Amino acid sequence: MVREVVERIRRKDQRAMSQLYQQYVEELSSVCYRYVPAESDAKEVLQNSFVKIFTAIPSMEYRSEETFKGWMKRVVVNEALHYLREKKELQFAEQDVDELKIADEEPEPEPELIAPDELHRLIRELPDGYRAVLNLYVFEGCSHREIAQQLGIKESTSASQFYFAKQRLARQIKKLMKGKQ
Amino acid sequence: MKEDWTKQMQRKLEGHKMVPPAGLWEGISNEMGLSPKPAATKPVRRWYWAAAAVVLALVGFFAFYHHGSSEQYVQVADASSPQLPVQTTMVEPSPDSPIPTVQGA
Repeated sequence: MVREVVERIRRKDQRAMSQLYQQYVEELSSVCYRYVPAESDAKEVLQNSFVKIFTAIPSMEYRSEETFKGWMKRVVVNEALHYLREKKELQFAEQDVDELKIADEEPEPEPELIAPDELHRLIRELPDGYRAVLNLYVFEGCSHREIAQQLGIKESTSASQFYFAKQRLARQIKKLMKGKQ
Repeated sequence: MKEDWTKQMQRKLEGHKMVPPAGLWEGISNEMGLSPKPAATKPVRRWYWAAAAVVLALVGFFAFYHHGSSEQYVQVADASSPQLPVQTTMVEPSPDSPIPTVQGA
C-alpha cells in the first residue's frame, strides 16, 4: 500500500502526495511538536519537512513501511533541530541548584499511568535545551556523543541536560499524579 | 532490574498523533505547486451509497406517482375480458363540463 503510494509519488502523482500526507501528518506533527511546541514554528518545520520528503522520494530506495516511516521522522527531527539552532538560538540552561537538590532515591514516576496527551504536554513545557536532548536520547535513541555532534555541544553538556530534563519531567509527572489522587 | 521510566515514556508516545498546524497542506502545496486540497483518503462507506439509492428511488417513485395522477385520465377495462388490450381515449373537456370524461372501447 505505502510502497504503491511511494511509487506513484516517484511518477509525480499529486494525489499520491496528498495521500501520503494524510496518512502520516498527525504522527509527524506529534514528533514535531515534541521539539517545537509553538504552532507557527511547527508549521514551518513540518512544511519544510514534507517538501524535503516529496523531493527526496524519487531518489530514495523503499525497503519497508517501517523504515520509510522512520526516515520521515528523522527528516522532521533534523528540520526541527535545524530550526531550533537557526531561529531560536538553542539555549542550554546551566545547572539549576534546586534541581541538584532532588535526591536520586526518590520514587520513580510512572508515565504509564498518565494519558499520552498529558505526557506530551509535559515534554513540550520543558526548556528548549532540556527538551531537545531528552527527545534525542529517549525517542531517537541517540547516544550523548551523537547528541553532542548534532547540537554542537560537549558530550558532558548533553549528559547534564538530560539529567536535569529527566529530573524536572519526573517532578512534573508526580505533581500531575498527585493532583489526580 | 527495574526498567528505566523513560522507556515507559517512549512506549507510551509510540504512534502518538496530533492535529497538524492550520494551513499546513496549503503551505506545502503552494511551495510545490500542488492542488490546494488534499485528497480524501477515507473510503466512502457502502451504506452511504445504499441510503442514496433509497432516497433516489423514493424521489423517483413520488415524482412518477405525482406526474401520473396529475394527468386526469382513467383506464377503463372490460371486466369480462381482462386479457384484451385496454383502449383509453382522452376527451377534451367541453366548456359545460370542467372535468374530462373518458370513453372506453
